[in-house]
Amino acid sequence: MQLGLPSCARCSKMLQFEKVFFPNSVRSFSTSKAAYVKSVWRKTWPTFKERLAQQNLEEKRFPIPRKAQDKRLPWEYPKQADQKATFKHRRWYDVYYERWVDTYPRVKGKYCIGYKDKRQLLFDMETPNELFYFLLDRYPRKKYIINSFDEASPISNISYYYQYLTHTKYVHGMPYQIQNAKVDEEYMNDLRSFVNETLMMKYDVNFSEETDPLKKEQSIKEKCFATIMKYLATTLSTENNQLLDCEIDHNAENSLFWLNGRGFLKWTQPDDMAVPYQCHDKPFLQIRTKEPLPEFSPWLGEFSTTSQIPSFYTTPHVFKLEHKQYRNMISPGYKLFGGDVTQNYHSAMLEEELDQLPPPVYDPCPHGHTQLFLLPKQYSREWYRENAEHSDITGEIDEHLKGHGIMSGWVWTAAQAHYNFNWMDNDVTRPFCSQTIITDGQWLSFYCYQLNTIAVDADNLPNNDRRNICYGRTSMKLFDEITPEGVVGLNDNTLQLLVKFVANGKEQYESVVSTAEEVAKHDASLLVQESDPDVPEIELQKPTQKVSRDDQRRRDEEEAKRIEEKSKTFRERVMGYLK
Amino acid sequence: MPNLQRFLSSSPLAATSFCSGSITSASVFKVQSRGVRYKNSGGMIGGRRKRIPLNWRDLNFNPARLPSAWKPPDWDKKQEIDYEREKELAKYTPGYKPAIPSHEKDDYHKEPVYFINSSLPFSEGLKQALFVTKSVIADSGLPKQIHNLAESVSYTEQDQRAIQVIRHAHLFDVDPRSLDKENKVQRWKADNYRIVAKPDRYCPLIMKELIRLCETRSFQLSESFRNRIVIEGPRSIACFRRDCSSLDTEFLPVQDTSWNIRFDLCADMQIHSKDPLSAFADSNAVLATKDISLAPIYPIMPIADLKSTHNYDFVTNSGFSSKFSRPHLHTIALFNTDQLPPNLIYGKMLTHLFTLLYSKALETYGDNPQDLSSPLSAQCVASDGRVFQFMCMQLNTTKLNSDDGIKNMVWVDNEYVKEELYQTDDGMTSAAMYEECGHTTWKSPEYYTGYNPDVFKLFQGFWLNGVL
Repeated sequence: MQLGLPSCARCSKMLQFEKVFFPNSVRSFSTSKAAYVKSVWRKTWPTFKERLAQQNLEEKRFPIPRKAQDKRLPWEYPKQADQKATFKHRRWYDVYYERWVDTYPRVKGKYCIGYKDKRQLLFDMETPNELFYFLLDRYPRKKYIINSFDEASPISNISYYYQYLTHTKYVHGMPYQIQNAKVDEEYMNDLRSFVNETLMMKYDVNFSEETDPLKKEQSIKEKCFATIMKYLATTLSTENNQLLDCEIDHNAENSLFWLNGRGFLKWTQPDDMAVPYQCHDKPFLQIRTKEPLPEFSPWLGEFSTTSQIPSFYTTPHVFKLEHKQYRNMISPGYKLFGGDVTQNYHSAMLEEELDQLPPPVYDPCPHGHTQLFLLPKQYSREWYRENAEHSDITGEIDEHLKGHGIMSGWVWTAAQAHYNFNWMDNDVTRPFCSQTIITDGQWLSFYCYQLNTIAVDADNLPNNDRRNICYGRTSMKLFDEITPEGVVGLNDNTLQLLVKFVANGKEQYESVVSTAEEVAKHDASLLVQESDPDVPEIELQKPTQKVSRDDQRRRDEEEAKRIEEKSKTFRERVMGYLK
Repeated sequence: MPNLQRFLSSSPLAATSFCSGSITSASVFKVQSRGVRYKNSGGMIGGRRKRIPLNWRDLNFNPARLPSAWKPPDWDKKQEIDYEREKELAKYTPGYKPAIPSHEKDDYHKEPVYFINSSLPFSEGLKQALFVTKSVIADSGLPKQIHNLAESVSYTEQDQRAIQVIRHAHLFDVDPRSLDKENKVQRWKADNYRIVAKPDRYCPLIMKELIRLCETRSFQLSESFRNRIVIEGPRSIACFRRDCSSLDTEFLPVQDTSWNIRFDLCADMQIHSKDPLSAFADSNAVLATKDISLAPIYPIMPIADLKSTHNYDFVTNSGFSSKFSRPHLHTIALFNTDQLPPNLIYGKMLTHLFTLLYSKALETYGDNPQDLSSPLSAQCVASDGRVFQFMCMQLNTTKLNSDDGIKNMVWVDNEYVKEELYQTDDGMTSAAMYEECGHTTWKSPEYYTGYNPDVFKLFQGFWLNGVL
């Protein structure tokens, strides 16, 4: 059966008509912009009976047949295709009532994902599809929408807040295997010249006519960085074999729905409801591989269990975050399975081939390797300086970038963990690692995220001593300037880090890491971002870049005072003392 | 009764009210003079209401069936621009950009130019493009060296990887547009009906991933990978004067057969290299094109359906500066997201190839029309994600002011293209990489059917031409 595109919005219950496009040969063309396509509306289900068969019997109106369907006693129902199949069918056909019946487990008693004792049903699920149906679609409440990058957000020290939301420990510096990996000098020479020439395309190539300068700039950045990343993925495939079989997503969308903490949600409800969050993330390009990345820090080590995570005591309504209800979504940029949609069952039954119905297929590259984000086109570091809108907030540049790194890493890895049939009560049994690069064209930030736990909701958190780890290095310059003559000041350290990120894999790990003690020793030497125990408020924290900035400012003031003092005459100085 | 009859025949309004039952409310227009009041209730419960007017005599049952060319009587008057007033406004309003009549603009030319851009292809497809660019189809099928190369370059795992790419695009790719964040679509509909991948999403993805596979292969095979670069969306312009001396003007409305023509195009992706691509045909074959005449398109004018304008700049630009380190065009890739049929897409491919080669030829050999001492050659691949078209071109001459002499040469993957050129739109065929791939292709357990390994083999050979 050929399926059409979106349905008629007015049909309240069943999709009656579908749009069918004629094949290429029948289409007619004009000289206007797009060829117009001939199409007709055709009935999806040819007969009324077939259309009715797609609906389940209502529980209230048909209690007795529903009970019989649930039990399906062998002397009542003949043995059917789904009971002989190698995989769990999504629906089976009731021959007496001529209806399709879903094979989801039935809910007995109260079910609510907000409390641990009321969501024990989730352990009965057999496929991730069923899990998502109960975990996501049975929760029709408003949720807070988190933006991974939002430069206009009112939250100061946003990285601390995102640490709290994702139960993450932020570490300044790179993990052992990245820090100590070696890059071939010859390779670096080739790469340097290639990056030089790619960046020079801004002047050497006439790209499409675009009137908006911001859009034009952004599209050139996209083209340059896509070219560089694909070059790396191609040329490093000799060192890292899994890049031969990798998949690259362009303009994908990652999303995650999770619960964290308890708080007030609605006047008619108790004031200790589990608070839901939803985040959508739009990486420009992401690499997925067949094998997972090796762990950045030992799974059973001390580093992944110790550290104080900042806390926050109210719901995020104080930040005026978006609070709305729509479908809850979890995806790491690819679909959970292919095939096995409900119409297949009906068309297979019409052809009497329900026994030969194939199982769903899964993506061969489920493990995230590296993702690349481009900051929005209006982003500028200059904007953070003192201007008509606001005072000097240059300390927030790194905060926003760190927050972006933490949130993107969490969303991607936690979504992978959910696809791996883990949820908050069934915690992960191995670390999920992936890497994030964030860039505005000139400055790059690098993050390595290791997911150690997804049990971050209020019921599980008190008994959970595991923490997620995010290693980060922010604001590394790729170049100083691009001029028509050439690129000025191409930064070698940044390029090396870029290479190490893409080359990361089993081979690199085995060549660098010999014992777990070395890694633990390296981790212990790194600076960890923690909140001050005496003053736990998030907005009062002093992240490193702010401390150094304040020190610098104090030193500058003292220097200015000293110079002023020197320039005064003896008389003025004495008068100053007398005052 | 006779009174009533007379009344009916005199009043058209009342007469029509008899047949009102058969007319649906959709075709009924409201009369302007009196307001029509409708019943608010009635009809289906909760669905569309059939609104029944209270007074049937107020309805006009004869709404005008307007042709598409119709416009309101005052339309032209409203569209007229008062240029003097514009000048005055510009005098007193800072920053005001006055409308200027086209003949007073800087780029006004007396003679019009007929132009083509990426949204306006040749409506007659390959036939028209061949005539305008003075090209002939050299041989049936592609040059043999490409087929030989495709055989030598292929490896065992390539089909598996190509299939992985197809399934990635059709089964696993998440389209951000399909995520419903306003609760507009019911869930079972979103899960079961809105699952078909859209061509503007899967076509670029398949092409980009296949190109990446070929690039990886070329990196494995030789060092010349470093001489190449893949560029997305460069823009190039070719302007030339075409004189069609062989055109029979006896029954044509226009006697003058020379026109200014301008191609302004953006290729979706193209690969450039440091070394030029070797020629497909030797000098003897080039000289032999003198004897071949251009494929006739008699009832159609070469400029049929082209738009014209008087405001233009007649400058050819290849889109690359002289400093660019990889100046030679190798292959163009076009994404056929509109799913144009093969005939039109072949025409589009030829215009792209011609634009880039012609502008390059002018840069290297100067503006004088001449037969090139060493011809330029390049290739083009186009695909809608399923059906692939291949084309090679060799630019032998820039003399477009006559139909005689040496002609440019074109090779197309279709072996019967010479016969199919004169058939209708659906006559031409191309090779499909697979028959069908999607969530509802349940007849095969891999959810794709009819994979054709020759297509990717050819694609790879095409892309790696000149690497070994």
